[in-house]
Amino acid sequence: MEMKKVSRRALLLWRIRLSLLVLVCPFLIALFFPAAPVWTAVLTILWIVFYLLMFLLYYPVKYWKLCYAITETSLIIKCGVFYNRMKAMQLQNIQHVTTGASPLARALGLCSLQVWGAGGIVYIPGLSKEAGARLCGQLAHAEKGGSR
Amino acid sequence: MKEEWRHSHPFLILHNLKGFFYMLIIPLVRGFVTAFGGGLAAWLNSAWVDILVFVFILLGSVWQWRCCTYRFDRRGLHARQGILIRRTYYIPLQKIATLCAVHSFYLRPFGAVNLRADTLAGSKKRNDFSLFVSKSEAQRILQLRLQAVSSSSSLTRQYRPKSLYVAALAAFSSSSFAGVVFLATLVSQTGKLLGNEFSERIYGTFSRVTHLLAFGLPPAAAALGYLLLFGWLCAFTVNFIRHKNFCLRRQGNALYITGGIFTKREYAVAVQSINFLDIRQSVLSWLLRFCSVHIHAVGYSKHSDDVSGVVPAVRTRDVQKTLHLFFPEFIPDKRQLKHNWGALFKFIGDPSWGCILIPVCTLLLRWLLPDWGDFIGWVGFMLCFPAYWFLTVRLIDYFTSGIAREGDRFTLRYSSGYFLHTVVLPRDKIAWVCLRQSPIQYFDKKCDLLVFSFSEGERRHHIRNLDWQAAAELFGLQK
Repeated sequence: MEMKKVSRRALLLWRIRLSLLVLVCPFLIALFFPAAPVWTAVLTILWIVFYLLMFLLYYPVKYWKLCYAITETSLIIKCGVFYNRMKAMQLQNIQHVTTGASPLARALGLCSLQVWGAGGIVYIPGLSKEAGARLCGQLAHAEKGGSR
Repeated sequence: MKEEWRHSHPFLILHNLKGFFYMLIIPLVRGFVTAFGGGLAAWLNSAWVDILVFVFILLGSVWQWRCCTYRFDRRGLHARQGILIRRTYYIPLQKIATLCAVHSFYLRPFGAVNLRADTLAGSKKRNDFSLFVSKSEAQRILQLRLQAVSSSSSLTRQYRPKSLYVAALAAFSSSSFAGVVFLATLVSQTGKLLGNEFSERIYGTFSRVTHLLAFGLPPAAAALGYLLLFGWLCAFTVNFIRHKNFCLRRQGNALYITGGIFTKREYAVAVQSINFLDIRQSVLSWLLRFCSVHIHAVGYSKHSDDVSGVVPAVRTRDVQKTLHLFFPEFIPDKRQLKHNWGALFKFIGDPSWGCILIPVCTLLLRWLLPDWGDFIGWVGFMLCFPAYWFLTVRLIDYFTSGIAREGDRFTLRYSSGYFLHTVVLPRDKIAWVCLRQSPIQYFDKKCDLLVFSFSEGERRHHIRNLDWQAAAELFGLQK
């Protein structure tokens, strides 16, 4: 079983998204703690540590561990940062497949894939547009084949 | 021959009235305005407005009923509904997982039955289709459904449990909390209808009785205890009434289940629609060596007041025999894969917090608030019960949990909350599986297995601390 990695641009997308999100922190601190230098310092240190941990550790590990494969019978996804997870959905049980992309993901040529089963949904983020379309077609075809 | 389009039962007119209730605001506002302005004469002068509103509500309901037609034949259910927006439904007979006829006590005087159909698609909480039909029509439709999934030549098996077994199911599936919620809702709703004085009188009587029956306990603690006991009794009574007259019949691939006294419920379930079979035990039933058998099929036990279970109570040693008769496709197998013996903390970790923290906090609070010592001691003692009960469940789970596979049939043994489950599910009813490994489990190559079975929502089965490689192989996955 050959596991495939998601696009390398996924890491860039997650990091940009994180940077945009943490930009709000200094504004919020300045807004709510204008005359509290101790609180300002503590909170600033906290968000910077959080940002660095996510930027340098969490997302690289997430990218490194995220991979997927389609076998003859199942779609297999390996993921997780603190926990290792291996998710498997039988191809014949796939109800439908959808792809989605935020404006930022579209700009980087990325999309995410949602595979719907009767009782749950599995999700592969950070796929390149081409890989997403290919996988979508492959799974939709497998689903039709399975239901025959 | 093609079936004719039929109208729904006229009870639908009454049912539709509630959709127009918002229009009663017009006579209400008019009443207020005239009461403060012109008085009775002014109100009588424009009474035609009220009459017009009532006529409109009535005509609207009747018209809605006229527009609701259906046809149920061998191919499926066709229905048309709506005045302005016309909706047409078609549910093929093969896609109906559960067909249910509810004979509610308030429908009986009208001779009406609420017929509900459910498929694998649609809302988790609501039925996919609901209709009011006459009693005879409901029987005709249920028979059509049963004929579609069973052959006339197949042997019919029937099971009607003793009242004692029904009482056992009611006892084990009743929770004090549900009963207390039921009671509180009942009292407050009745209070709304009969005036606040009524609910205040109920609460006052309860307070006096509690003081009388405190037997040396702090009154507040006694009140809490009696409330829980009374709540449990209420939940038990409701469950018993719901399951009394329970009957399970299997003919070919069709299951026909009935139950209830005041509200009789009938279910027609196709065996192929059963997602899994669940043999459930509480600590008490585990000690007494009996269990109840439940099925999970879309539309069955969907509402909290539905009949749950297919075998209310059976001795553990007889369960295989009963299943062979009614569910030969769902026979549980012996454990093939189980956790290692060193996984004890994985099982007792969660309940241990409660078991340690509750007594410690009780002692601490008694020391800090000596005036409240008796009350705190009693409440702490009461709170310890669920915590140690949970610990007991997990300890039993430690000795019994695991999984097995026989062909395309999986048997999962695990605990969830206060119940021990033995779940038998076919491979094609597994939506997806997840092997989850924590950093601690990484070092001894173990994992938790999460199996998500077919369901309208998410239905998860959690088996703890299995060997990763063996679990992956059992489900045909390679690491």
